[in-house]
Amino acid sequence: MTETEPPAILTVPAEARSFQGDRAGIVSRVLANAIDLAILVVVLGAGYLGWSAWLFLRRGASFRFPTVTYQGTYVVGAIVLTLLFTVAWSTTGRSYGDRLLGLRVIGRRGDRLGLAAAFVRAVLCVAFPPLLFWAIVDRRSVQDLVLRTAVIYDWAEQPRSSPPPDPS
Amino acid sequence: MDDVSEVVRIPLGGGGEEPTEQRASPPPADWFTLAARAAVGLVSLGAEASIQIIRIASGTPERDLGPLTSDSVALLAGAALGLAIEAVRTAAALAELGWRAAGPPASFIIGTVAEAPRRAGADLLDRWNQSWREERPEVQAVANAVAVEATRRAIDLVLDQLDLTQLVLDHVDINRIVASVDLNEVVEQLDVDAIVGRVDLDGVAARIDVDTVADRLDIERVIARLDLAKLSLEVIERIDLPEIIRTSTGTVASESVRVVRMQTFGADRAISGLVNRMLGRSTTGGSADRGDLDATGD
Repeated sequence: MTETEPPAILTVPAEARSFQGDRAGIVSRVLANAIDLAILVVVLGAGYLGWSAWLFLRRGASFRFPTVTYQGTYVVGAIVLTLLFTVAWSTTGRSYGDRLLGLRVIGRRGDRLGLAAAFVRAVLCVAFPPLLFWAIVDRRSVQDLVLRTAVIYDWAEQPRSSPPPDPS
Repeated sequence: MDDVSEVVRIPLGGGGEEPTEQRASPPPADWFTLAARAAVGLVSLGAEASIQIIRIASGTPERDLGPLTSDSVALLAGAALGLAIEAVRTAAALAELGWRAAGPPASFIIGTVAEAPRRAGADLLDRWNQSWREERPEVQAVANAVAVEATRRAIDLVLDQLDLTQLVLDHVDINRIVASVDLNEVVEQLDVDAIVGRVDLDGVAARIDVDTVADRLDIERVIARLDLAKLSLEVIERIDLPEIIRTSTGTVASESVRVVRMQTFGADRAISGLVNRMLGRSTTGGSADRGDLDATGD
């Protein structure tokens, strides 16, 4: 930030301002993903209940709760989670877990991911979750290394308006 | 009577030229006769008075002298006086004759003899006059200088003895004088810029009632020229308004989130430090993370 630009209002606490913009550690990211998984479970349950309600309305007295298999649940969950991540990262740059933990996913230039990049990253994250743990070593997951993205501490509600220059 | 008798009467105006007139027009012959008669009369009166005085002094009564003695004296006196008058008349005739005969030559001689000194005197006066005319400017200048200097010193001496200010205050109506002055004309001759340059404007400004001035200002025009957005942001940042809002309206949830975020950040840093020590990397904390970051927004 240069002095000629208007000052940005820092809504983050004073004790957290020093590390805003730094890459997030593994604990934050895992915790955020755990919250997202919990959200996914809630969404799947709501979907299941909604689907059951739909069947109940259609079948009436012959209604029975639909039987779900592990594979089907996993596929549906993966699809739903991918969609959630894609929408979240391409719009606000953060999922609900990221928002609670004060994290944000940014592109190579520090800006918000595009729809395609968000979708690819979501697919990679959903398909290969263990690759996240490379962040223990480098604070970057394998997905980040491949897509040249990053997850940073950003407690502010609004993303930063001035993207950094392209280091590459 | 003493004053009149003791006054010395000096003939003025033309007294010096009297001989010239006498030469031009000799007095008439009767003048001498008249003067002689007057003198004889005076002598006669004097004689009678003398006789009278002697008689009184001697105590002799007038009748004791006898008619013969009295008449004899009168006869003698009258004869003497008549003789004297005749003598004077004769002398006057002779003098008139002599004057008529010797007048012109005498006038010529006197004129000739007196002409040289007169001309010499006139020449001397001319030379003096000419010299005066030549010296006049310089002499007058010197005289002026002397007069001016003397006057100045005299005035200084006088002024040193006077309190002019008090005199003016006591005897001069200053208000009347000021009322008669055309101040506008005076102001036009003033160099106002130079005067303003000598004024302590800061001191003047400190005495100005800013509220009164502000009432006359077009505040809206001033505000329109301000970058209120930038100014507001600077103010908000300086007073840390977000912190104020958080502390005043913070909820348990936001406080919990804040605690969780800080704890997870601490855990992240702890693990990073542990890993860095295991891998033998230098642990410079967040700054190293920020330095390695390609896209951190900083």
